Amino acid sequence: MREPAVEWLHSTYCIRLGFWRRKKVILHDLCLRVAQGMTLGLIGPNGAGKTTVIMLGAGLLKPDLGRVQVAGRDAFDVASKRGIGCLTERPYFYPRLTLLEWMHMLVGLSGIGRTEGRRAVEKQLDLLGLRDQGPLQMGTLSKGQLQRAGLAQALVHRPSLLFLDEPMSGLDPCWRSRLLEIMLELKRAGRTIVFSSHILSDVETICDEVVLMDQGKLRWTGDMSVIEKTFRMFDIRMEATRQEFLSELRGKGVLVIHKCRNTYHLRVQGPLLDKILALAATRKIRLESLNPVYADFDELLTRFGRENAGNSGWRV
Amino acid sequence: MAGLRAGWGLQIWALARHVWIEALRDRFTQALCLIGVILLASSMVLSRMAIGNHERVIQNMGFWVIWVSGFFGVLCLGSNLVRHEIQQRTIFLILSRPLGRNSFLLGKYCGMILVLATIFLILSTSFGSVMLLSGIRVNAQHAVAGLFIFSEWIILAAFSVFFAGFTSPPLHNFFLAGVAFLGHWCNDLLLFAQNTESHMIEIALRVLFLILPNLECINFRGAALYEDPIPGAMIAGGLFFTVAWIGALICASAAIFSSRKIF
Repeated sequence: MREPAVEWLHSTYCIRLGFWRRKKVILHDLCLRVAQGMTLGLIGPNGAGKTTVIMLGAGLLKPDLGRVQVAGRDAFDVASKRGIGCLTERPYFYPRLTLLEWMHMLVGLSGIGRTEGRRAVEKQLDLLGLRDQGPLQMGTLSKGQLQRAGLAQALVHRPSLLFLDEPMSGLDPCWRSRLLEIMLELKRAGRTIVFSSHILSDVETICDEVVLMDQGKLRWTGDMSVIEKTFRMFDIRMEATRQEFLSELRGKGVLVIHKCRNTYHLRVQGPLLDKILALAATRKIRLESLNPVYADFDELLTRFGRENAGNSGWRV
Repeated sequence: MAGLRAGWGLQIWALARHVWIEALRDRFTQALCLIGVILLASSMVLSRMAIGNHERVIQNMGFWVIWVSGFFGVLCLGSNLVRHEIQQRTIFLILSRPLGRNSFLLGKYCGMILVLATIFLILSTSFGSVMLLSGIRVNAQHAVAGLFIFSEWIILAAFSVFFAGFTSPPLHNFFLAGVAFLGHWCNDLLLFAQNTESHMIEIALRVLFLILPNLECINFRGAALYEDPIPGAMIAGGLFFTVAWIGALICASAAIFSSRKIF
């Protein structure tokens, strides 16, 4: 059995709300262990406690009850943070610092020397397509660029354990797929990754194990492959040189998600697939990708989570 | 151990440097310096409206402008220093690094001192220029008075870090203004306490006298104005007062902030 990279041992976290500072438990008695080199996906609706789990693991918060350990050490200890990379949910940064200044500050805080740090920053900015944005003040960057900057800072010191809270948030489809590739590369390199997402297909692509959370409780842990999926529609990316080929599809259960020149990103209902394939067969359109879209996690939660509410526990 | 200390120092410097860069690019800091310089320059015109004592008007106004600029600088820098980081959640990316909360506070405080030092340098240079242009001789007392105005700023900055650790920005501003003004009226508070007939008010005033820093201990503006000699013991006492208050406040801030829930 591999050594645990991070463990939440009966961790409970509370916040205090309102004038009377009433206590509200936002994470209940979480027991979870992530082995080294494993990729764990946290899924669940808003307010499920995913961010709290990540923050506790990254040592940003101290549990009110229980413990969180990183490689056997208390996660809150400064020494535990040396091998941790963290991306928090909202990409709020310093608007008047340039991207390079901000990256160098965080590299400095990681204890990396100037020369090595400069090299590492350049490498990460290249990897995430931000080299040209380096001299720009962060207040001028777009949401997607800020998200990529957040990823760059999480990876810049080559951490062995990564906590990524909604890493795909705000990214365009191209960068979403690139980020998935990067995460798969990190996984192959043996890094441990804990990340949260609302997008089940992303979780399915890279995770060894999934944790389903709801209302601060662990509802279910396991492999995504065991989840019986409910088909909803097809996600199609295609190229059409002449628009009239699309006219017969329009208004019949077709949702155009994105259109750029001749390239289309559509969601179509199952019965329309034959028509799409026929158009592709006659080379009127060029099909780039075709993927099934399954039920979202709210349905999964209803089906798996609440039925098994009492089954929270260890899973290695 | 030495490497660890060097690493810790580098972390503090990395934080402080970026607080400084950000603040200098902030329109508020730029406007504060600009208004300060304009007010200092205007003292040359305003002094002519007084009947006699032109030199004293320029010096009085100069010291007052520098003090007020520093006070507003601390007020605005400090109220957002920690709160903003928590609200905007930028603090999490910093604390995800191998950096303790105490080091975070210290880095922020050092950054604030760098910003205040820059403002002080700009305003004191302008004040010196105004005095030279008005034919006023700059003496050692002016330098001592100026340096202790800066000491007062950094004591207020330490109070600001202390309040920012557990209050909201409006309360922070209220408390800080209270310390800044009552700190200069400490001796009067004691006098009121001695003269009041109500026992409760006497206790309250004496408690206030004891818990507030007596900022008049480091106020040498009068001595500079009248060219009175400042004894070395008073300067040493002022330095000790500054260091003691800053040390106590930073330790208290660290104790409060390290146990505070930030989410």
